[in-house]
Amino acid sequence: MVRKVMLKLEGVSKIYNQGQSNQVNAVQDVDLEIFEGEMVALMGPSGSGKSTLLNLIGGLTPISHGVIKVDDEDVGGMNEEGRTAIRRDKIGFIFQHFNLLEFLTAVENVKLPLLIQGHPDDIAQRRSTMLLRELGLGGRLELTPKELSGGQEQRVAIARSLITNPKIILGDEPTGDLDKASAEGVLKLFRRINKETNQTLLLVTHDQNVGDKCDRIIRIADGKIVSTGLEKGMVAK
Amino acid sequence: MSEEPIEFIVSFPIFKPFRRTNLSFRRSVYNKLKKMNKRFRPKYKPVVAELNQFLFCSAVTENQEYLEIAPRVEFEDQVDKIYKKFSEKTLKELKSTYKNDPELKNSIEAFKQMFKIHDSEARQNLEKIEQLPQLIVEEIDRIFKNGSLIIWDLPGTNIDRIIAGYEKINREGDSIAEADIASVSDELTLATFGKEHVPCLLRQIQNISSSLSELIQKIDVYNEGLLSFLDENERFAMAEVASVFLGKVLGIREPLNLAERQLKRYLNLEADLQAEGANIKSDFISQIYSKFINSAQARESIDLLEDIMHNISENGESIRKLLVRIENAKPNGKSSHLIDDFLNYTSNMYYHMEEFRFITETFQDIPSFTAMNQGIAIEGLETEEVDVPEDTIIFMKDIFKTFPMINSTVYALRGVDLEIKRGEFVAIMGPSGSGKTTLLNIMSGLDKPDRGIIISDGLDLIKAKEKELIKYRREKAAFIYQSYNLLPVMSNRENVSLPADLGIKKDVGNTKERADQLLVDVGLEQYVKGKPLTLSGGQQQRVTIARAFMNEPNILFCDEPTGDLDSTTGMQIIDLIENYHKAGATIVLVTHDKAVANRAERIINMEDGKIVSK
Repeated sequence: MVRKVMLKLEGVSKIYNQGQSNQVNAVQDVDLEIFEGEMVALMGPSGSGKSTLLNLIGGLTPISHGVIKVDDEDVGGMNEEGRTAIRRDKIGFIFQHFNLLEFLTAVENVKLPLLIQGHPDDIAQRRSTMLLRELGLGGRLELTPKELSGGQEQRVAIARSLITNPKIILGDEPTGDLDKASAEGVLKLFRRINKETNQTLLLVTHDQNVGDKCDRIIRIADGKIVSTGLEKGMVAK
Repeated sequence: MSEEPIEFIVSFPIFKPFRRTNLSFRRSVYNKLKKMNKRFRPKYKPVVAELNQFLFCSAVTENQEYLEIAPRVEFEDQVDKIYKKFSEKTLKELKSTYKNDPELKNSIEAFKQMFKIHDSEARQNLEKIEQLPQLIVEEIDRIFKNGSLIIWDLPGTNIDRIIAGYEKINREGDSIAEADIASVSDELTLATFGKEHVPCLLRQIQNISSSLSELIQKIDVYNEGLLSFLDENERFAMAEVASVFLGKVLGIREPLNLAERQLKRYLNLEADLQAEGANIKSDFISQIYSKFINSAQARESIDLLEDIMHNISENGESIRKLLVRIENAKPNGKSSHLIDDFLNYTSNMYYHMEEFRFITETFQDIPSFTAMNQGIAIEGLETEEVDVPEDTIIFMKDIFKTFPMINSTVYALRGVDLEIKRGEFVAIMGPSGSGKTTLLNIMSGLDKPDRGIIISDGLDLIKAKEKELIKYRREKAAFIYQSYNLLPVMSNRENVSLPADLGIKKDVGNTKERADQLLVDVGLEQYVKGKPLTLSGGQQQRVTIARAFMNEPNILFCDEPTGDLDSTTGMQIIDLIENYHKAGATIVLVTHDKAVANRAERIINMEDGKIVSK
């Protein structure tokens, strides 16, 4: 069976301060393919460009050179409006520091993307409630982020990223701020989501434990891919 | 008659989040134990402290009348009376917590609205759901009652008395080597609790498993036939019930995960006790586990819960689809004949799932239970004075730190011992959440442990007054973090000299000249008058290093100092830190980067709140 490529990068580079004395080649000439339904870790030392690469894929930062295709759509070639549409409909984001809106309750945070997509409030409310119940937060729907523990906040953030059924979920150190038990819970959740919905997950991490739980590990150093985890002799789990 | 001391150990289950209730219980037990000795001597000061979700108490007496059974029983009864009063209060509070549980309240409301529109016999199940808080409290009462442990460690060859959950377990003929029992009292505390807890989990998991099998058989039928509604009101009420129920089914995996960790903790306990028994060559200890916990039951529970999770995963799509189909259905003036069946079924299964959630969440601390070899790990216990070797700059012993959350506890440090020599360069490594930053914060006096000893550069950081701590943090210690925390409105020179300008007693010479020299040392001579935000990340971190050394600190604490930098710049930063180390400073550096850690003289690895290698 030929697997569908969900994410394709060709010759992608990101250069800061181009042509100036302090030019930084954050990401250099990256080629990469990630298949539908894969759960992949992107690992590398601090400053290796892994977060920059994730931001490029997510359309949060414009690329300097190259092509990025998400579900066959060329993100790099799009204008800001097109990138926004892709981010809204095809990509879910999860951050290390959760990035929830503090003045909204858990359920309001989760339903926000549905409201932005134009769903009626009662459906958005009900689906968000059900998803939060699924993630074990049925008793915390009306709490604000400050009233939640780190693990719970991250679950709300995960629910927010899942509510629109995105094709691909990008996580930037999603377990970085969590204690061991919460981090394990979140990883189990990722695996479950990935298995049940066939969503593609790309997780930036420096934590080998996270890498070990993924299908394969892509390694990056000084802005270049040093291993895709698919080289000869390496088999994706 | 022997004059040797007699030890009395007792542990009772508590509910950790009820701090005030627990505190008053602690005081009452302490006062009671104090009375074991007719004349109080500091040597026999009782220990009463929280250990995970138990109150763990021990007292020693020379009062030889406790060698007789009758006075012992009388004393046990007195202690038990105190517990009874406490547990009644705890259960009352728990009942009110459950009653006000938002998820339960919302769910009851959804079912109620449905029954208003569509009367059904399933209404009886709703009544049962409404009684859930009372029924759960009764179950917890049973587990609590059977979960207390009493040990009399008697001198010489007298047979020690062990009462676990009111059952005397060391019958005549069980030989116990002297003092063995006290050394495993923490393990036995957990084992006693598991005696009722494990069967309770098994029973509940079995209930969920059989209800779920029924759902899986019916889900396609519901997906096809449950879509005919009298009117919009009926459809809306049904969608609410479906959201409550289906969310609960998909979400039951969270309590199942928690239960799995609890059960695995009990299985590990078996290994702990066997190892401990082998260690002290006691068959009695090696085999004692089976007197409490049936491992087969624990394993059966784990197998069953894995099956449940697998079944939900396999059928997740059909389960999710049902809500969407109900939401999209158009009312046609006729109620589906399946509505009664669905309501009856969902309300019944809902009851089992909610019961299971309450029990597993109430005992959520069980997986973090820490038993120590040959000792008792207790949070919040005072420890004795120690002699710190002269060449040791940081001395830590038996450090525990927990962070209480609204309804749970994070066990950040669980018994850490560590010594750092003067002038050493030490790296602390470990995965996220392993406790390395908490450890650094305690070493640097930014946070206090719940228990243990921490002496840094001659100062006892636990007993120190706030003024002494401030002086320590300003004059003896210095800090470098991942984020640079520079003040953008000040020049780099002003940022560097700031620590000396903040009213320190120490004389560091002309602060302006010293700041300039420090900036030269870190290679920023051109940027003395510039402001931080015009610098790159690596340059800004250099400014913070210069600032850290402004007050000539003895110890430098670094928390991921290279975390935001690329590898080359990161290594340059470590070069600078190493220079100061060569000049005599003690460096403690937290990092997750192996290359950075390798630059230290010693690497300390942490995992799950403990040091795994030094």
